[in-house]
Amino acid sequence: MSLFHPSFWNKVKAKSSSNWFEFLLLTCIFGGFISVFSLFDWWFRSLHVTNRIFFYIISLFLWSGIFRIVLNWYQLARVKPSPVDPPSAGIFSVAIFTTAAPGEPLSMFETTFRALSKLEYPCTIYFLDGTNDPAYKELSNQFGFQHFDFSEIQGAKAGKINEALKLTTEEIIFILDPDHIVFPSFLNEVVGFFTNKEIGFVQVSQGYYNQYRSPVAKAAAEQTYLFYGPTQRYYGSNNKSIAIGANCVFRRSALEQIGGHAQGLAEDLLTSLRIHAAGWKSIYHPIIVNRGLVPEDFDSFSKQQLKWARGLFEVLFDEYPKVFKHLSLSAKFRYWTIGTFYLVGIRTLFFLLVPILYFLFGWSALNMSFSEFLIRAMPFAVFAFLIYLLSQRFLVDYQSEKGVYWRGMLMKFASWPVFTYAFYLTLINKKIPYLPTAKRGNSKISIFFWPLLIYLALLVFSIGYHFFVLQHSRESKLNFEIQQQTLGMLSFSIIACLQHISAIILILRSSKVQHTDAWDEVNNYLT
Amino acid sequence: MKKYKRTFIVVVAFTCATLVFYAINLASKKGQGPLSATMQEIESAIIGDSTQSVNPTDSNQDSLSDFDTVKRVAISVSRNQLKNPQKILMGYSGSTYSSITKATHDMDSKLGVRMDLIQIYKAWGSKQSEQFPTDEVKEIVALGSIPLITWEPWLSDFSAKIPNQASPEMREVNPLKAIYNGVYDDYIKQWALDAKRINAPIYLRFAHEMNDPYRYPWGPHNNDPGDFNKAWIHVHQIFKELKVQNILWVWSIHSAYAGYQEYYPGDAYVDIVATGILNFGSSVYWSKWWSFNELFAPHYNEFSSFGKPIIIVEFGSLKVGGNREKWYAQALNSIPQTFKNVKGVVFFNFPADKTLTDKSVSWILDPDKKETKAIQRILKNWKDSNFLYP
Repeated sequence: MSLFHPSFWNKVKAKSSSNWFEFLLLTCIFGGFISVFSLFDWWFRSLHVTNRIFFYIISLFLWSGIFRIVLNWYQLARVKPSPVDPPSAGIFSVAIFTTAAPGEPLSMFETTFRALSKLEYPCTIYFLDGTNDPAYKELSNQFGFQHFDFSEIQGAKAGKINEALKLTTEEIIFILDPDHIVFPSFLNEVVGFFTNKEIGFVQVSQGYYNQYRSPVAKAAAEQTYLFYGPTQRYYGSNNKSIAIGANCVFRRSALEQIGGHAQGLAEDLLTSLRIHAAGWKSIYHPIIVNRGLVPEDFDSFSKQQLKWARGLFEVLFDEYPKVFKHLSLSAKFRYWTIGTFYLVGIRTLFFLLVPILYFLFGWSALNMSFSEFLIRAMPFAVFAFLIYLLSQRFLVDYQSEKGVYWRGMLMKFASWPVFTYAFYLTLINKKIPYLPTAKRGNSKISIFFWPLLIYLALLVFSIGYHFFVLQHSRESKLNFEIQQQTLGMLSFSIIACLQHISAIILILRSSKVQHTDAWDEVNNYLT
Repeated sequence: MKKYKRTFIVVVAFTCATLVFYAINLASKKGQGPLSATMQEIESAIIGDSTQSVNPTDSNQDSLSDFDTVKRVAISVSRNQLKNPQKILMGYSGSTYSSITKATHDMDSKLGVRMDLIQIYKAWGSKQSEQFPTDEVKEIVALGSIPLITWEPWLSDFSAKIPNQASPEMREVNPLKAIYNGVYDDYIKQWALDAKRINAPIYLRFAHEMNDPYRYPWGPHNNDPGDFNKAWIHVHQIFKELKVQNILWVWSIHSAYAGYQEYYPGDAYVDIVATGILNFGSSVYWSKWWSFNELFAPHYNEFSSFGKPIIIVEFGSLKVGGNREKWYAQALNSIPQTFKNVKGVVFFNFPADKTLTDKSVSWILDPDKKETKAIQRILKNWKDSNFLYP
């Protein structure tokens, strides 16, 4: 079986949705809202409280999670059913910046460059070379690209881009990550949007071509599908799409107005935040006209996640308060939800601790039976799942991307150590260096793998301890009264156990390094 | 300082968010969420109090919202009347529900009469769950019923900080002596004061089945003769000194073991004589099907000789080995006719009882089964014959 899907190399555009679909979606969202109200009303009965403080904290974690889901429904309801086509491309001068950092494989650039050289729209390609390796320069010259030796320039990717901005004059700047293979029509699809003078940047969707190479790669790709589908399309409906580092096309004057491309771990988010704060609008164009790489092993994946989580928290704590008053209300809301996205790690950790606290110390906050909770939460869960399935109609490449993203969800769950660590680093304001995500898999066991094992051991121990104590301390009739709650906690723990075990299997299965490079096979399709 | 700035912000934000949930919870009532409670407030502000008193027997046991709106008529008897009940008090212990309110409405509707007594089991110890159960007792009183607390003097759970205490392994050796020697007085006092604060009558069944030589550490296998009476009187004395006047003392023996008379502390210290009558049928290897009469009648005269009202404090039959409907029917029919000193029947309603068996057995009555309907019929008859408190 080929790892690749030949249709990957065709241009794919998000489809318009039918009226019937819109009706179905709105009905489900309406039903969802009602189910949330009813769950809310039930949950907060004071009958359910045993330990007050603990109850409010559990409520906070649970309901902040549900709130995000509900917010997501609202966003879905606001997505424009049909994507806007670009106006015919005017005459713009376009520069393409692609950067290289030491350690990025040369063969990958060969593939990237070959694709770049086939672009249909006239442009000048600048290779911002940080490797200080003559082989890279030679490759660039072979393709006739402009070569800048930026091995001395500080500030990772953004530093090089800002330096290149000083040395060039083109109106439109396309920043391309070197793992991304562009399709020949890329610029034709994008440039036309800039005829509107208010547009600061245009973001297109992003596809991948190596997601079939490991379960982690599949998971990493799955985690982005809904972002590039419904989420960005909602943002785009307000002309406030978010720039993603990889393949964003900027107007030079917008970048210059904010003092150049922002630097930091989440430099893309920071840049769009500043551009929006400066009053510019942005376009999201739901089309796949390029494909790149996702991390294939857990070590690279968790490093990428750490970088993103740390970066997003940094924006939340540092930049967001500064530009807060310049943002429109919806932008305030949007950047808040993006900035707090990775708090999901703390939330997961908290819920993972609940059964351990119960089994070891008998702490409990809730006076409700687990089965009753399940029954009460069932309508909400059903609607949430229906909406989840329906929302996939907003995907850019529905055929290849649809599905229940269990791998993506599992890896999001198993990333709790990463996200929690990122939050901790943010609290103590400790920076981590910006490094490009690895392009080749490695078999190193990530440090973030161990917390999963430790948690699993701790959970099993605490359950064992609980029943040991129960057996040996007393035969009293008191046993009856705690039994039901123990049963609930036990079911909860079994779910947590299974999730951890599945994640561990997924990670271990992805640690086998592929012997070929992902881009080797691409060349067959790029003739 | 800058290092802690973010931590500080997060702590403040977290606290504020938690307070929001505190506020939400303020708006809710026991069985009602914040939205419906607020709606009802608004409704009653506009059209006056419209909550109707619904007969508990009409409520559907599956529907929780029905439980929430049902209003029970509270039993109205003084402590002195409870010392010598003229009518029969019905009650239960145990449930499949986590909340007492739900369990009580469930039992009310299942048996067709109000549960006057609600029995809960509490152990001694230093943990939070082993202190006086204020919340549960308040819930029972708010429901309009009378709490019956089985208070089990297990000593193994006490914190090592308590002075003059034996090591944990040695505590079960003559525990009653440690009690009357005052080692646990602080615990008893605190418990007594908490009970006093309830300000409503409470039946207290302390150190039950003290004549069972196998089961509990306070049995004869661990203690010297006479220790039980000393310990009982010691505990009683503490309550008296603290002027805790809402307690009714329930002396509860195991009828299968003879010689319980020697554990009787004296008329001045006991208000009620109690025993459990449970038929395990052939569910367990050591048992066979015994009728209520076979279990209870041989002891009835001896029980009555104490001159105190009798409560069947654990009442029930399992299914296997005989006719359950007949068991309950005979038992309940004989009480007002033959066993006139019985003034209380507390249904044993535990779903998964493992205390005396190697497997878990269920005492629960299924509302659709014949035995439950038979009980309903007889209790309705009791109600009509004025045997029960209105």
